Amino acid sequence: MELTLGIISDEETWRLLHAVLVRLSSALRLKMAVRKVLFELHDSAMPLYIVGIGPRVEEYGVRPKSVDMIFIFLDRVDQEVFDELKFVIKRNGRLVVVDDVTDEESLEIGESGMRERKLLLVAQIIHMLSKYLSISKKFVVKILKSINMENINELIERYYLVSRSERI
Amino acid sequence: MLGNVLSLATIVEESAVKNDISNIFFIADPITLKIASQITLRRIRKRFVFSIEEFLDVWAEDPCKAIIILAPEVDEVSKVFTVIKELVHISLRNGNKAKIIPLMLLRNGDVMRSVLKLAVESGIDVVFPPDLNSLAMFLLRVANADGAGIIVCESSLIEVEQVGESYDHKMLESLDKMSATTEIGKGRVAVLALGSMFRFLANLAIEQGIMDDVKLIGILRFGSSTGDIFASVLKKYKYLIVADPSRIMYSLLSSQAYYLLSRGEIGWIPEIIDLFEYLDSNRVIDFMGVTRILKSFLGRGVEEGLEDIKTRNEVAFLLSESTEGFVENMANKFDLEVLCVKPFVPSRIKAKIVGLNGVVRCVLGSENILVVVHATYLIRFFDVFRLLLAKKNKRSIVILADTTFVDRGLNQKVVNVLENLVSKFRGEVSVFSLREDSPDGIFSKFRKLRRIIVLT
Repeated sequence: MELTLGIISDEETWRLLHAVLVRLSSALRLKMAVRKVLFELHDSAMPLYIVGIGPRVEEYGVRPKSVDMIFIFLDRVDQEVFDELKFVIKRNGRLVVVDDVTDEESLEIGESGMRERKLLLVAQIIHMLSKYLSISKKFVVKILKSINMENINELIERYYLVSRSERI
Repeated sequence: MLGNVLSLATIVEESAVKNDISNIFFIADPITLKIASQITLRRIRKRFVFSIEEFLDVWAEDPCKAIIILAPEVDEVSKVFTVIKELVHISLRNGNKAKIIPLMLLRNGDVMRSVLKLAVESGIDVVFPPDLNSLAMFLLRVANADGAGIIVCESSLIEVEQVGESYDHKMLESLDKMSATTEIGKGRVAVLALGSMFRFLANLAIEQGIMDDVKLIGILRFGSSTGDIFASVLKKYKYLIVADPSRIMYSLLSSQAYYLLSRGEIGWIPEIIDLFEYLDSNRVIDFMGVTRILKSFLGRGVEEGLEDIKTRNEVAFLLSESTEGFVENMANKFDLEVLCVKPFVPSRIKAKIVGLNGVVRCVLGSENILVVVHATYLIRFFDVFRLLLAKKNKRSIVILADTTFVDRGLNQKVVNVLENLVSKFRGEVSVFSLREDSPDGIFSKFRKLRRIIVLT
């Protein structure tokens, strides 16, 4: 199974997600390549992490219609960014914005709003990956817990990423 | 559980261990600090300095075998070359005991252009590894061999990482010397490229099935031997394509061709094509664009139907959410024009993205401004910001010093140095920290002071 992800985020959030992805790919003995590109918008540029997971991974930047899923860890995104990203994402690809996750699920976000939402999106990414890569949820939880990520256990339980019987 | 991670940081770390290097110096900068944050081996001592002069001071007290990692701005490249040239001589005299291995990280195409020009002028060999494996090899060679030079990492090598991969130690040790060029393909058209562009084109040539049409020549070492390499290529090939976004190679190759023609050393006028002349901008590269142009030159038709995605050869970081939140709040409250100094780029706030020159230009203006800059930049280029802060008019100036990648140990040093620099303003400028001071407290102080520095 090969999967290409696109991530737009600041460095702090990226480090969080990176730790999870590295552990996940190592545990599954899958190769992973990460390349950060600065892609051109009309009058600015936006850094984009391209993550290839699978036995054979893309080595060079980003190609048209090559990304399966794009996750945007920003609370407001210009239309221009979406317009440009449509050239990157596959026809049946998926684009998830941190705001969408919370809106869709009508969650109550506390004082530390954005950080909590980002953690939630990290958890969502892993949840989606578990489906794409056919990983058991039990294993996903094990990976997440091995990282000892702040709040992640709470998030797993709070947002029902796994059922009670699957929890470790 | 954690598998092998092949990245610039892990290569530097492993090379240091293999070569008994226990000191790595970083000229503090968001790019070098990012690499430093990924080096975690305890036996390696990470030492942070704010300029090449400070590094010389520190190193001269205790000359040791060390790697120095730096990511200079365009205006600093010439100074860095002068110092490194001297260090190279000192290293050669000292032998292996106090050798300096300079690793220069190129933040963008402008720095690359400047490095190439100076490599030719200064005669210092600059090594351009095309990929991470070659970087490991070059680090090993430079650390062990009698020769010396600067190893350069282009932005594409800084921002790449492979999990589950590692380089082959045995293969590296079996290599005797660093070759100045590498070649693949068996065609009649020579395609010259430098460093990572060679790797990019090699991949493209294999994928597009044009290996029989081209002879891909990768320049790995640029400097004293470049003229001879170009001369031998010009004597062999009539058709040449230069794939160099900095455009320096094209002008050097053309001059060399003119020289050889004038001396009668070649009996034909070589056709030299600058590939990047046909792309929109020399700072923008897109896979499809390069493929299309290369194939059309080779008479192999045009591939259509897909939109290009243009990417820049530049390192950039998104501002953190908390920084953007504070900037937005402050700019709205006090009607400030926001400038964001590269390599940081904003995601949602309205800000002018500028280099340091953009800050210099603001000195003469009259607008109230808020400058977002990395804390290390504020220290390294304080002379520029001093002018801004010292201006005796009613302008309001806020400098927001971002501390992304600044770890706890370095943070105290940053605060101390900044306080020392600011003390010369005798109370006219104050330093606040978002970790310790509340935004409302900062706002009320700002109403009185009009000139403040805020650490994120």
